[in-house]
Amino acid sequence: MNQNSYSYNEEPLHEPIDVDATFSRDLLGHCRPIAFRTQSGREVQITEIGLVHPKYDGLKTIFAFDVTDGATDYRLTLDTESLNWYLDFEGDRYV
Amino acid sequence: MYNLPLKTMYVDLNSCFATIEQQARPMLRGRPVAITNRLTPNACIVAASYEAKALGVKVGMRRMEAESITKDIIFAETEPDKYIFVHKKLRKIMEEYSPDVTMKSIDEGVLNLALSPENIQNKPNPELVAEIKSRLRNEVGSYMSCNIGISSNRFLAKLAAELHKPDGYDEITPANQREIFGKLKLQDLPGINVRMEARLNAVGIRTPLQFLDADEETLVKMVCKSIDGHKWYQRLRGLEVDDWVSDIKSIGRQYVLESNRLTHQEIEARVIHLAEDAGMRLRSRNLYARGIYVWAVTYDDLPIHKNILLKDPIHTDADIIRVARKLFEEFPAPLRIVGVTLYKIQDSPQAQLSLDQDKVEHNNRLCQATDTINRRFGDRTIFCADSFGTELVKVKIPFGSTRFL
Repeated sequence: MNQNSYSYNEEPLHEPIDVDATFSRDLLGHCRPIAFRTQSGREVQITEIGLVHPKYDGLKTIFAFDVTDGATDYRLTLDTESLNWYLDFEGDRYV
Repeated sequence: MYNLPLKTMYVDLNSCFATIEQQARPMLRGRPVAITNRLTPNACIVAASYEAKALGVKVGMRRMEAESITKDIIFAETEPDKYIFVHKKLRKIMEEYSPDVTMKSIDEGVLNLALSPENIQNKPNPELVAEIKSRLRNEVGSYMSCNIGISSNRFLAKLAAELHKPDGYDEITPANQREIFGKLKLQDLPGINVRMEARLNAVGIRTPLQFLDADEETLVKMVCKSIDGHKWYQRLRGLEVDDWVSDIKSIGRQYVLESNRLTHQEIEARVIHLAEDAGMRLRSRNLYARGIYVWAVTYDDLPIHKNILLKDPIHTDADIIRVARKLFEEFPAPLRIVGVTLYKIQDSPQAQLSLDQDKVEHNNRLCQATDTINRRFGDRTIFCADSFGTELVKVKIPFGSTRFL
C-alpha cells in the first residue's frame, strides 16, 4: 500500500457478519451498530458512525452504515428484506 | 441596491461531495481528498476537500494532474446515493423554514423567508442561520457545514453565501453592498463568465462597482443587447428576476468513455445504455419526445452530432434505441465522450391513431411491463441485450437540475 493511499476495495465484499446494535430514538438513525464480527472471528468495535443512508434496489431498501473503529473505515449494510448484515467495504488501515 | 426586505436565504453545502465523504469516512477528515467519477488515472475531479484546495487542487483537474501537485491526495469514487440522501435531508430541513424552497442543484437551495410562518419570520436572521447550520450537523453529521447568504434576491443571496467559505454567513444589504462589491472581481459575481466579462470590458466596465453604476440603457443596448440588460440592472439592485421555473425542454445523459480502444460496436452499446436511461427518465414523468440528438467528442476535441425531429412523439425504449442507433451509425471510433438527448418534449402521445396501432399498443405495454419489473427489482433488471456489459455507464452525479432526484 502506498503510504498516502487510502481506499476501499473496489468491489463490495458482501461478507455476512454478526452485528451488535442498539435501537433508539436518535436523529441520526434509530439503529446504531456498536460492534461486528467477521466470519473469520475478527471483532471490530465501532467508535463512530459517519453516515447512515438508504440505497434502493428496486423496492428493496438497504441501509448503508459508514462506520469506523478509529483506524479503519468500514461500510456495513443492512438488507431490510432479509434483515441480514454484510461487510461491504473496508478501507486501508491508515497509520 | 433598493431598500427591500432581506427575505431570500441561499444555503450552499461546502465542498459538498468531498465533505460528505469525509463525514461518512472519518479517516478522510483533515486530509486532502478529491472525488472522481471513476478511479482511473485520467478521471476528472468533480469535488475537492478544502485541504486539497489549499494545496492547489482544483475541480476539473485530471487525477494525474492533481497527483503531480501532491502525492498526499486521496481519491474517492462518487457515490450518488449518499449525496442524494444528504440533498433530501437538506431540503427537508429547509422546507421546515419556508413553504417556498427551490433546490438549485444537488448541494444548494433558496428559501423565500417572506412566506415563512410568523414564528420563523420573527426570529433574527443570525438565529435562524445558526439553527439551520446546527440542524445540518445534528441530522446529517457533525462534519457537515454550509454557507448561508441572505439578501433581497437570489443573486445577491448567492453572492453573500460565497463570501466566506467554509461555514460562512453573510448578508448583503443596501448599507454594505458597495463595500462588498468593491472587494470583488467581475467573475466573482454569479452568472458572470469569461464571455460576459469580455462584453462588459468592451464598454469599459471592469469592476463590480462599475457594473452596479452602469445605466440601464448601456446594459440593454450595449452589453446584453436584449431584455437581459434590464434583468441585470434589476438583479444588481436587489429586485428578484430569477424566481421562474422552467419546463423540461430536454432529457439526456452523457458518458466519458472509459478507454480509447473501444470499437464502434462497443461504443454503440454504451449509446444504447444512455438511450435507455434517458427513456426511463422521460417515462418517469409520463412525457414523450419528438427529437433525438446523439452527440460525441473525439480525442481531438472535435464535436460530432446528429439529430432527427420525428413526426410522431415516442417514449418506449424500443423506439428511442432504434432511432439513436440509426443516428450513431456513421460516427467514427474511438470517441472520448458520447451523449444522447431527447428534446421537443411533450406530455401527450401522438394526436392521431397510427395505421399500425396494434403494434404501437403492444410496444407500449411491453415497455410498461419492463419498467414495472425494473422499478420492483432494480434498474436494469431487464434491459436491451445490445447494451449488455456496459455497467460502467451507471448513473453518476446529477449535476444541475434536481428534477429526477
